[in-house]
Amino acid sequence: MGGPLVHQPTGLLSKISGFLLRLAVGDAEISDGILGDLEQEYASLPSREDRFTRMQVPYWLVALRLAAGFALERVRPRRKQPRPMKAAGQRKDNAVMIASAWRDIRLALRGVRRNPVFAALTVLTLALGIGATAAVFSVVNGVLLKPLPFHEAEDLVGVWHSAPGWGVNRWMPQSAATYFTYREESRAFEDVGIWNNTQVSVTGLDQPERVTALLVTDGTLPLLRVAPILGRTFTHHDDLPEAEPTVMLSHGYWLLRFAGDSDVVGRTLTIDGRSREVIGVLPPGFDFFQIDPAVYLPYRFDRSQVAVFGDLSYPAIARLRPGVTIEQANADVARMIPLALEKFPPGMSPADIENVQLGPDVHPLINDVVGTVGTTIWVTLGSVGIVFLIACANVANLSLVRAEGRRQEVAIRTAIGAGRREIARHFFAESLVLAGLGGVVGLGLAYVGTNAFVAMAAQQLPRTAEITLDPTVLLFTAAISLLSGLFFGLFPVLRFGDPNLATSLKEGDRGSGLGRGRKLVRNALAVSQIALALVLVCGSGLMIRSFQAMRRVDPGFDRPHEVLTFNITPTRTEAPEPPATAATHEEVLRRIRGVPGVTAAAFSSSMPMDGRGSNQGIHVEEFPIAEDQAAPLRRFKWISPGYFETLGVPLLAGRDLSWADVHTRARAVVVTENFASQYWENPNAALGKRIREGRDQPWREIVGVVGNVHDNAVNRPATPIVYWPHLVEDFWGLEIFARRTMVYVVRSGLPLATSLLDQLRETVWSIHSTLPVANVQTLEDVYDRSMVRTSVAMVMLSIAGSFALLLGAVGIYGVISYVVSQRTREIGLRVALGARQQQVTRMVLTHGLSLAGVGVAIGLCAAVGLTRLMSTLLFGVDPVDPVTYAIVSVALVTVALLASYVPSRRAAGVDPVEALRVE
Amino acid sequence: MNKTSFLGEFEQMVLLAILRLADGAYGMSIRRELGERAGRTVSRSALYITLERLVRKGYLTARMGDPSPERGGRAKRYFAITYAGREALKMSGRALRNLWVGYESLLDES
Repeated sequence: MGGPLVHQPTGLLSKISGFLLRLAVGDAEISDGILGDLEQEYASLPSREDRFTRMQVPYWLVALRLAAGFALERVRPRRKQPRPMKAAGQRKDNAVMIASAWRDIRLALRGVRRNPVFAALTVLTLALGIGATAAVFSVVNGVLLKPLPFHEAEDLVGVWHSAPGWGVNRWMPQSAATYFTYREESRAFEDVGIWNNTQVSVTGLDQPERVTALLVTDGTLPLLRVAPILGRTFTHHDDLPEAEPTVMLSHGYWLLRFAGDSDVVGRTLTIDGRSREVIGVLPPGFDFFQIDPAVYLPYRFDRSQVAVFGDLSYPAIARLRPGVTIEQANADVARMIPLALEKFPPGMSPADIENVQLGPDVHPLINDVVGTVGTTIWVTLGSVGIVFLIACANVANLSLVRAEGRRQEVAIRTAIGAGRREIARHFFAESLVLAGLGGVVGLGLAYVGTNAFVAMAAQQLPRTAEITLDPTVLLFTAAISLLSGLFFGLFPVLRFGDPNLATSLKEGDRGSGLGRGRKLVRNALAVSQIALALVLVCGSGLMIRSFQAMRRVDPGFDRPHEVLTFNITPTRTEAPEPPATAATHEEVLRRIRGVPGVTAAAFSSSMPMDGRGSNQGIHVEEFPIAEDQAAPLRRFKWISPGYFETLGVPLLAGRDLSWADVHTRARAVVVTENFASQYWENPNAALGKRIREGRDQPWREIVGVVGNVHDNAVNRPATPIVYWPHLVEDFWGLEIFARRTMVYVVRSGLPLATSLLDQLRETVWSIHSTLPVANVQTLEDVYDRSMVRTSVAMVMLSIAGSFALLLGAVGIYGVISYVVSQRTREIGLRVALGARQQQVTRMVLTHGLSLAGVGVAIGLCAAVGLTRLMSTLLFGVDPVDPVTYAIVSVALVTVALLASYVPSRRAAGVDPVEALRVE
Repeated sequence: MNKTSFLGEFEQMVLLAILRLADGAYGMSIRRELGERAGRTVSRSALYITLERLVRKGYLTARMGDPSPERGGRAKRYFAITYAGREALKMSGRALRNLWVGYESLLDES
């Protein structure tokens, strides 16, 4: 211990206090000597804990005390002061400044104690604004701003494609052929690696289990700069098809299943029925895109078998060479696309390739990690930012009111010689102290709020582990606290900064009512609060309408809460060939249907909204596609009979697929209504028509047409779907084809309980004890998740909107009630002259209403501009939705009316005799 | 140079500690010396302020040593007593001793 890197005084506070000491001492040599002593003293302490127990005082505080000591020493009048040296004038100024700043702060604290209600109100309002803003900023910081936890993460990019010809503008993955090309030919990338996650069955340990596996090529881990803690990482050899199968373990899985045994390297693990040699263990804390895989497997491509437009389904990452920009990397990929077509078979006709217009999409890796939540988070930050502004306006108003009450104090200060600067400094000191307190309380709220938010959104938000109150957030909080303090301190300063202050104070203006300028400022503050609140409430109104619109969308299936779903994947040992896989699934399904409480059950290669659906080209016999055109992409699903009945998807024409179709391998398919209506006028017309999945494949007959399903998400249009039997012959050039993993959907009349799940598990295991039941959820979970972005945004905006409304109402109330109290005499006079109570009430209400009216008008203009920013979050509602705007405007005016009603009653109750007698 | 004046008690202690430490007198070592030998925990600001005051009065000279890593790259400020400092210390010490004459045993007994 004791090197310069390890000891305490590296923090921001230490730097600040060191700087202050330097100022107070006024001589760099002296202060350096002192700070050096201090550092040496702290560095010589053996440990942090010891530092606390023995010193009990942090370094920065000691330095700060020293600074204060020197400053006070220098300003203290002394009888026998030696003649000052040359530079002493300047030094003395600094010292005076620090000493008097300290005095100001103490005075301010005394003022705060004297007026606890005002102080509490200010601190609380600010704390709410600052806390909410800091909490959301910590999310922005953690999720969007912090670099990824990899070495030199800013050089990491996601390598994707665009394919406008297929309607894909970005994020289209690689094929093995493009991967090989980019790896071998690139000038921009240091290395390229592909990755994908999947579920695999691990057998041979305690019990069969389904775990997440990350498939990688040999470059993927090294380019992330991850080195194994045991054994070795994948090499080029592991990626060769003829190599011995290998596997790497994650740190967590190694601890869980091998108890951290260092002899694990060289042992074998049976994964999907295939034994693999364990070659290494990855370090703890390595978490790839929050996938948290248990095992890492090498991809093996047979170079002789790949085509450029083969299987475009592999996400890729790359590390840029030093100094290479994203633009250069994109240009490099654009250059290599033709190269790939030279090196490997294209896999499509030249005309098709022309039509697809394959292009590059290289972007920072963090975009891949964050995905689309960015907008939601920024909109949320914007909305709490507005709440913060409203809070500031509110406090500004409060401090103006308080300043009015302190005219006497200011007058006395001025009389005994305080200049404008001293008065200003005094008010700023006070507002900064309050803002500081607000910041501290706000930070506490932010701490609670951030934790609550992370707990709430952990499932939907990437990188939640990164969300902490780190120095960046602290600095941000300090900055906004300071700004708010300067902002609301400014109003009383301007109020008393008037050069004619003395005269205006002498007037003691009880009779003259409010100064024109001040009235304007106060009204402007109230108006801006209303306007800001309107923007926020409009935003949350639009989100609520979007959410309602989503709830109204018929997803295409029925009563999702009754449907339980889970995955089953027979391993290669149990079912080596497609027919055996299909037979296993059929047997599992048959037994599941026999479980008491199960009313219907089926399986499919993917269920609605689970994000696993794949899109493939389709050809229709009656509408041939020219050789030079790409076939349109349609969602493919492979299903068991009974799938539609289980989900509650209506059969519109023809029939469902039957077990006979599966067993005889009949060439029958079912399509959705929107698929049929693209070619034929009604569902019935589609029956008997023929389609196929490739140019040289046999035709298959449409035997049924079913209702549309929103397969991507409720807020996305229903995709046309082609449903194939789960076992098909002559498919994609394969003799026989079946998907290994199937998603089971089980509908139960009984409430979904764990007992049912246990029974289902028993049933599945009675067939094969090695069949894991994975990824259990209800269809409703999946359905809700597809709306989560909207619901999170709605909740956040609604909370912000309610705060805004509340603060806005308080703002109007404050202004009106203050005006009433100032005009008591005038009102009394009016009443004395015969004004009726009603008229007085109306007068006050009119004032409140006119403020609200102006605020609403300005707010509407602002809302039209600002709600456009959130248009990607909206669904089924226009950013300028007249209904929302009208309702919100009326609501705000009503709130304003209520807020002015209370003071108006007070005005109406003014007793003229009392009011005039005060004079 | 000021006319030599009497030193305060704390000033005397600081100067004596510096004499004892000879070449090794800098802020931290002086503070430690006072702690160990005089049994007195000294506030840092009092010490540093006194040191600089003694420098200003011409009783001490200060020079900077070499920067070192455990001090965060900062140099030590070494203090040495001047002739005037010695004289002032002597004078104050003599004055005190004269006043003490005849009272040591008296006070020890009580």
